[in-house]
Amino acid sequence: MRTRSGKGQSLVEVMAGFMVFIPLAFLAVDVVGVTSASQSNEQLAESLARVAANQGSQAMAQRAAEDAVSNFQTNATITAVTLELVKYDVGLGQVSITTAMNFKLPIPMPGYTTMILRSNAVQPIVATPAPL
Amino acid sequence: MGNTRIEIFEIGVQLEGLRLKRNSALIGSYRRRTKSGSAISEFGPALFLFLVFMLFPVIDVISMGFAYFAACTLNDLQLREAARQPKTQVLSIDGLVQETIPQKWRASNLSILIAPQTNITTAVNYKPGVGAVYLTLNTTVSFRPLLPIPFLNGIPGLGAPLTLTISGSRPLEDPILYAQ
Repeated sequence: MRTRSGKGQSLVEVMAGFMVFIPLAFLAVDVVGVTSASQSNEQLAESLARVAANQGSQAMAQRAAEDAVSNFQTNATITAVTLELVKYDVGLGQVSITTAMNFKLPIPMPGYTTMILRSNAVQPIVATPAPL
Repeated sequence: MGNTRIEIFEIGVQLEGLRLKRNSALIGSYRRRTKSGSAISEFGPALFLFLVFMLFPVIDVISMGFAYFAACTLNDLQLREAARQPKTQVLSIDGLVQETIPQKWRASNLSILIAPQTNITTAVNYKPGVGAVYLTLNTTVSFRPLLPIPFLNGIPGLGAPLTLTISGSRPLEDPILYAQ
C-alpha cells in the first residue's frame, strides 16, 4: 500500500482557507467604503443645514439646500445624493435636513449591490432673531 | 615506586583512549555535517531581507497613516477657522489660516511625530452659490519617510518624501464675510 504525501492535504487546506479569507477581505473593503460614504453624508447634511439656517424662509432654505446638493461631487461609489427633507421651523428656531446617498458597494455581495445611506442634521436658525 | 609508575602508565593509557575516542567522534561529525552552520550563514541575509523589505516598509506605511491623519487634522483646523474669517484675512499669507495655524500644528506633538519636510501650502477658493458662499481649502504637506529605505528611492513614503494634498469644503458661516 502506498503512503500518501501531505502535499495534497496542504493544498486543500489552503484552498479552504482562501474560501473563508477572501470573502472576509472583500467584506472589509465594503465596510471601509460604507463608513467613508456615511461620514461624507454626515458632513454634507451638516453643511446643508448650516446653509439653510442662514436663510429667511422655508422656500429660500429649500432652494439653497438644493443648490448645495447639486454641487456635490459624485464618484464611482457615491452615485447620487438627494435631498429628502428640509424643515424650516421658525417656532422651534431650527432647521432640519435629511439627505439620502446612493452608495454602490465597491465589491458587490450577494443580495447587496447598492445601499441608501440617510443622514439627518439640525442647526439653529441664525437668519432671524430667536423667539423670546 | 614501581606501583606508582604502573598506575601513571594506566592512567595515561586511559587518557589516550579517551582522546582517540573523541577524535574518532569528531571525524564522524565532519563526515556527517549538521545544518546548524548553514542556518547561521543564512540568518544574516534573511534578517537583512526581512528588515529592508518587510519590517521597515510596514513601519513606513503605518507612519503614512499618521501623516494622512495629521494632514487631515491641519486641513480641518484651517477650514473651520477660514469659514469664520473675512476673505481678506483668509487670503493673507501671514494671517491666522495660512501662517498661525500651520505654525502651531508644526509645533504640536502630532506634527513632531511625523516631521513635515517643507513649507505647508494652502490654497483657498471661494464659490458663491444660492444663499451661501462655499469655501474650498486645499492643504499640501510633504512628509519625510520615518525610515527611508535606500533601495526604494522613487517610492513616496518609503524612500522618497510623501506629498499629501487634503481638500475640504464648507459654507461660510456668514456670506457677508466673502465681501469683507
